[in-house]
Amino acid sequence: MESFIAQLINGLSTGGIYALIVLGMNLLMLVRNIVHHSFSHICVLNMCIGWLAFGYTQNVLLAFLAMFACGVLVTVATEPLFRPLSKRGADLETIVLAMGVGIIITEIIAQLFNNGQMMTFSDEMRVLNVGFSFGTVTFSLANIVALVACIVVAVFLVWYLFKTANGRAMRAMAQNLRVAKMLGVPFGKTGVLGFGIAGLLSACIGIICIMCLGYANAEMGDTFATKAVILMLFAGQGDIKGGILSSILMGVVEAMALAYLPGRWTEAIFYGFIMIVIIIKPNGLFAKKAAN
Amino acid sequence: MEQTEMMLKISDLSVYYGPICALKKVDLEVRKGEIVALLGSNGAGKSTLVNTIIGLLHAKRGKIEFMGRDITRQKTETTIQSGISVVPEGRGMLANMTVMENLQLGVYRHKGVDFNKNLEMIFEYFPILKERQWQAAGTLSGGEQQMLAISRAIVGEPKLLLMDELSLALSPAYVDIIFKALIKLRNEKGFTILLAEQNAKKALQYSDRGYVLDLGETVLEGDARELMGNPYVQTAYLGA
Amino acid sequence: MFSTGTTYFLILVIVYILLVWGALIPFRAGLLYNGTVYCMAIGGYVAGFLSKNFDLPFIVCVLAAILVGLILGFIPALGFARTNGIVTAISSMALIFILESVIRNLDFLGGSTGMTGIHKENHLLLWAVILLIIFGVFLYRLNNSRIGRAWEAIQTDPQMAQSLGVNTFWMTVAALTLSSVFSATAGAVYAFNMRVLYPGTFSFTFLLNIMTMLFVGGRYTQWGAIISCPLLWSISVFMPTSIQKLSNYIYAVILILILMLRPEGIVTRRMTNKVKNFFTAKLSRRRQGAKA
Repeated sequence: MESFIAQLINGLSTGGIYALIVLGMNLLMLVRNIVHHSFSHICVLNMCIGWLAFGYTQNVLLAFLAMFACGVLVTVATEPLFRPLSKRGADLETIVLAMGVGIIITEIIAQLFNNGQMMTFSDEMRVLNVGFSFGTVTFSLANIVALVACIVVAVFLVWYLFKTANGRAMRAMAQNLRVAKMLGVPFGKTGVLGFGIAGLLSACIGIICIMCLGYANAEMGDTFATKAVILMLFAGQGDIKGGILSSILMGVVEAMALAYLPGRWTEAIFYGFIMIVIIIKPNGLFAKKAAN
Repeated sequence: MEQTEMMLKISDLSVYYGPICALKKVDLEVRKGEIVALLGSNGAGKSTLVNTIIGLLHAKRGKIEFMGRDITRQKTETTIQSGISVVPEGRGMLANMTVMENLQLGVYRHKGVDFNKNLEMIFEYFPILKERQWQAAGTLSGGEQQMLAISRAIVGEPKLLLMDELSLALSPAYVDIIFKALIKLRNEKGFTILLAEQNAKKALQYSDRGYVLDLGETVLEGDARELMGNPYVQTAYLGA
Repeated sequence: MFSTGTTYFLILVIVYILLVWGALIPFRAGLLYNGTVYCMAIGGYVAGFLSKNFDLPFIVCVLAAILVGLILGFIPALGFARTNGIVTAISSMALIFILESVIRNLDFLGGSTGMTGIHKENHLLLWAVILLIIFGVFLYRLNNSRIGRAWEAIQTDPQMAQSLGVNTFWMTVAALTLSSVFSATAGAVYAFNMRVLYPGTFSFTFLLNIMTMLFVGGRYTQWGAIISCPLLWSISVFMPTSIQKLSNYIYAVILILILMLRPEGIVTRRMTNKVKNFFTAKLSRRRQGAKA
């Protein structure tokens, strides 16, 4: 029972991280109708920048600031790459382009940071990584904080998208770009704004990953990216609430599978299951019948 | 005719889609408070003209002036902000967003206006929208959607309303209701309206002046009554 | 005839050309299909297994690989034909992960340590060229046939194609199955060329190489692959080591630039039409000359 609760919390916090990545990708989906496959790579790049900045300054706060700067800069810098494609309405090409961006970031991490070795973060950076016991259950405070932080960030973003004028404008762009333009939504500015917010989000994800995982390497980007893209489709492209829900579900299922199933076939079963769901419901698990 | 303030002045406007000429040397004037009908069959260039005015398409030659300012090369969002609203062709519903959200987006570029006051006025005109304000816009009927499209365009208190194919896919009864509401609005609020329409009969019935476009060129212009009586218009557009 | 290094290089180029054609066929029907690497792995392992354990000649192994690839490509194709766009791209990517996990768990295929002991084929280059020519002519004929035109209609507008009486479902299934035949052949040749197979080879990176070659060469004609494959592959083989280290960067940058600036790739439909018109004009002039 104790281990079950520990696994549950573990799974929930992993799911929270997935949820934030999917949320970021959905945000970019709204403003540019793209699948930004390399969003996860940017999150990992943030972690590496944090590691580097901490190595130089020995100051946690400065390291986190550097991560935010990197996240926003890199994410916004990718926007001009996608612009001509999304103007052409070439959605298939955008995912290939994003994969190209992903390779570049992975290569940068592999060649420029720590000679391609795995980077481990010091305890100062993993501020909240303190053991915590509750009765007989022991777990890291970082997991709880990650979960809470994910909820807070997700709630904030959902609020932003549904209750503010700019958020509404982004959703309008996703639904009908032409009409959104006719209502005066600027294509360029709103897109850059969306990329900027996604950049901030990527830094948050980086910080949460540092606390929960404590290491970073070049391959992490690909692993996260594949899972996030699959999850995004699993819930339905651009479905914000469905994306959060299915990500958390996936985190829990994954933690349970690792703990209780014989490891050898888990991955095949897992991907097989998701593939079948995607094929049966191409518009996403939570897709309602399209209005009109 | 009494000389009133010029709202929209288009001179010598030519627009191309690649090598194809969609509008050829079009001249058009709309004065303050007028309802001007822009008639023409499918493909005559009505929608092209509307889209060029708001900057979604770019003119190759010519000039568009709005209240004395050149807006030919202006970005769409700036043009919308300066006081032109559009009722898009096919109503342009944001189908998965609620009626309220659609209306709120109508003031996205009009930060200064009193949204709540305008909302009340709109709900007075179209009570059905008040009932359905939390419904997704896609679930409304065709006529209700058209009401929403008009409301969304006027909630930001524009000076000039561009309407693209208002009567398309609407029952004749609804067309009358909507046109009458428009006239009332115009009389009370002093909007200026440019109406791109295929349904020449209805459009001329409710407008002051009209232009007839054919294959991208203005072939006729004049008073609505005169146009109604013009033999060319009668044979080509009124089916008489 | 050639040195070992050159032979090795040429055979790999042919493998890549076959794979790019394998990705091109579904694209003709409007799908971005990432299952090419999956079918290639199947082809490679079938051919390798037969050669290693039963010492069958090369061509028999290739035919067996084609047969198995056809069957195992046909089954998922029934599902993918229901989907489109990004959904197909991502869910077919999941196939790669599933197969990789399966191979790792099957000890008779060598598991994680890889499969060794594939027999040497002395005339591999000759065989590869023959296969390339057969498949090339086949693809050329197909492109200009009823089926090719049906695919083109689907690519332009699936609904219109359906209204014209094209059976979009079976046409898509046919495209995907045919793609698996190409990929399985490529896999078999690859297996005999490398003579050792690792499950990790058939991965995401491999897929990206194929995508880069497809998009750079031009994804509307079969000729693009013939130019882009040798060009790109030679970057990572013949260049000095310092540049080879950067080959992934170079691939990604070329891919991004092409997608942004030359959406159809190096060889466009316009170009092939021009060449075709030039030759037909010359031919007819010559005929007229003969008559006169």
